[in-house]
Amino acid sequence: MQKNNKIKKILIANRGEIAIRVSQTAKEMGIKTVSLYTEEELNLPHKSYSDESYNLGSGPLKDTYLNQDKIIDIAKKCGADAIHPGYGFLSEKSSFAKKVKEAGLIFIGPSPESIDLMGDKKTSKIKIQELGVPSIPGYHGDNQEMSHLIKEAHKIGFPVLIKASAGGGGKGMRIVFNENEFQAALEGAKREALNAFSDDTVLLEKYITSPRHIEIQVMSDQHGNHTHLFERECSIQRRYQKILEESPSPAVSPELRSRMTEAALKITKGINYEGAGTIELILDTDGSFYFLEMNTRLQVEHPVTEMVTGLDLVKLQIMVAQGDKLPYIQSDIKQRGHAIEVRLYAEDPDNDFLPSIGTIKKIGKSSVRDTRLDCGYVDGNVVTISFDPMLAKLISWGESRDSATKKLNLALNEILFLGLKTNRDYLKRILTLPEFKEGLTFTHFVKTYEAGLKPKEPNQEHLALAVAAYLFNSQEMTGPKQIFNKTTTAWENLSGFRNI
Amino acid sequence: MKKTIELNNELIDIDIIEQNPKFVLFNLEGREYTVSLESSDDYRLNLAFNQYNKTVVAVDSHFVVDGVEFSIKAPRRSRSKSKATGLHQMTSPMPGKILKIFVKEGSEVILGSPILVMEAMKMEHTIKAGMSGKIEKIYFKEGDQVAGGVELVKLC
Repeated sequence: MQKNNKIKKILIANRGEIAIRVSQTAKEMGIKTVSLYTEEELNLPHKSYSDESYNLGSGPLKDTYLNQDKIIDIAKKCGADAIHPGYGFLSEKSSFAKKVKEAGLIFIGPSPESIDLMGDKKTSKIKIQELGVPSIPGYHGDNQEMSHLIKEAHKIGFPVLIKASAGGGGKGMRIVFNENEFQAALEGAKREALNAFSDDTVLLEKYITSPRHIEIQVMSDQHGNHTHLFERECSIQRRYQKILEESPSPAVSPELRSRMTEAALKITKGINYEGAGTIELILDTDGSFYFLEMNTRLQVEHPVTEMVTGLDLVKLQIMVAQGDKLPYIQSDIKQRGHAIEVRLYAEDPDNDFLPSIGTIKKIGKSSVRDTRLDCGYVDGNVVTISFDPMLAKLISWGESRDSATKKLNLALNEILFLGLKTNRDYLKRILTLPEFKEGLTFTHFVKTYEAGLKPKEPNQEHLALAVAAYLFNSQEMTGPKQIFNKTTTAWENLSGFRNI
Repeated sequence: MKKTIELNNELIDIDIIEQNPKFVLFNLEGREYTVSLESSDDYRLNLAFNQYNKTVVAVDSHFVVDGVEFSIKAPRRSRSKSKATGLHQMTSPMPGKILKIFVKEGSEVILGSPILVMEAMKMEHTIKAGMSGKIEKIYFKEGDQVAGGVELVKLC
């Protein structure tokens, strides 16, 4: 009866590593894929990885990856029967999900109603309270006057967090420790919010001093089956954006895990959710936790869940979207071993994580076992300011947290992204910090251990070997080395872009 | 043979005692090193140093040993402009938009105090004073789009 519903061709309304990730699974399922790209992305691998690709033109994002009508039009013209939104961009725009449905296509994600309900921080919290899941004390009212907000902040008690109502990714967010800082922080948050979301409404929340960020991966089908795929801990963040995620969390006991997953399922059942989603929770040191928000899409950090459960989350998303039942029951799913993901960013960790740009001269490849690289670039690509500075995700699995850490640290010796300033060395500093090993991963990790995360002095033998390699390379060379050096110079000239 | 190289933007001298395409003996900061080149591929050199084996990634001026990156190149003949940039010059670290300027020409600032806020990649970045002093000149106004590496403010 559902035979006609089977998806045959998916348009991926996204770019970079996630576009490639979705294509990989679709190909494995025998589904054709369509990718999109802009004028700036002619050489990026997500363009050519799919079966077909279409040019979105150039200009601001609203004319390209955020142009709903253009994307749906391409999907119809190329004969796609489903659209996968990836993460970011249109993935949590209910208007897009609705338009996709109205165009007679399948939206690989939850219903527009679920996106609406959970996408708004205010309505989601009201719903969550109805369902008996605790949320953080705060102010979510319409009165946005400074004096009123200050009064509310006093009611909640400092420190207080100012957040953009429509926000995400740390944009439009400020921590305020006392009334004196309030005005400047509010102005900054509103400015950032207006820029990023065209809406400067803010909300206030109690700021928990030593919180951990724990999230529960959920997966529901259209037949009323609601499951969870355990937790991920994503406490290590900079600029309110995650840089390291792991599963299981070193802070979650079996008892706490069952309370957290139970709360997550209460939510997915309570809102009749469909597809993949993530319930973000804030864990306090006393074991109490609060609902933070629900992401109604695939998460950037989904690979850690895939590595500990052995499931393919994109495959499950596609199956659920075409009306299939989930191919497992809850008790089939086990957390096996430990997985850690780090996000490689084009940025300078030693200069306030300022984004960097330039040409990728060499990514490198990893020979470490049980390690996965989800990457949206190839050698020679230019990283510009037009898109998110995330370069790739590197994920290692081990039988224990310690073994996963060691594998990942080794892999970071080989995945290099030479030619750009990146956070690669910084990620290694995190992985080798004793406090990381002890699992002291709170959301202010980066700030707390700032001193221990400073660059280390290179050792003299490493330096000598680098100098030796330089001496070998700078001699009159014969064979492949010379050819390589020539090609490197050639593409640098071609791109017309000098790394700065 | 003495040779000067630019290592992580600093000039250092090395003394090459013996070198051929597969072998080098040199003195670096008072210590002698004997290294041989065992094999190589398009970007990696497998070196032997005493009884130790190490793979060094070498791409242009980038050298990576055990995950530690070094920049090594021949010294530049003339010092580049960026080298001449002093603490009195505040330059834009990357292309972006000036959102807010906290100072006026003539304002006194102390080291680390915020000068202006730029937006790039949808995130705000605060440009701080590189030294204490007086704002001599502001080259842009709020709302201006600026390129990377451009002087924003002059401090004296």
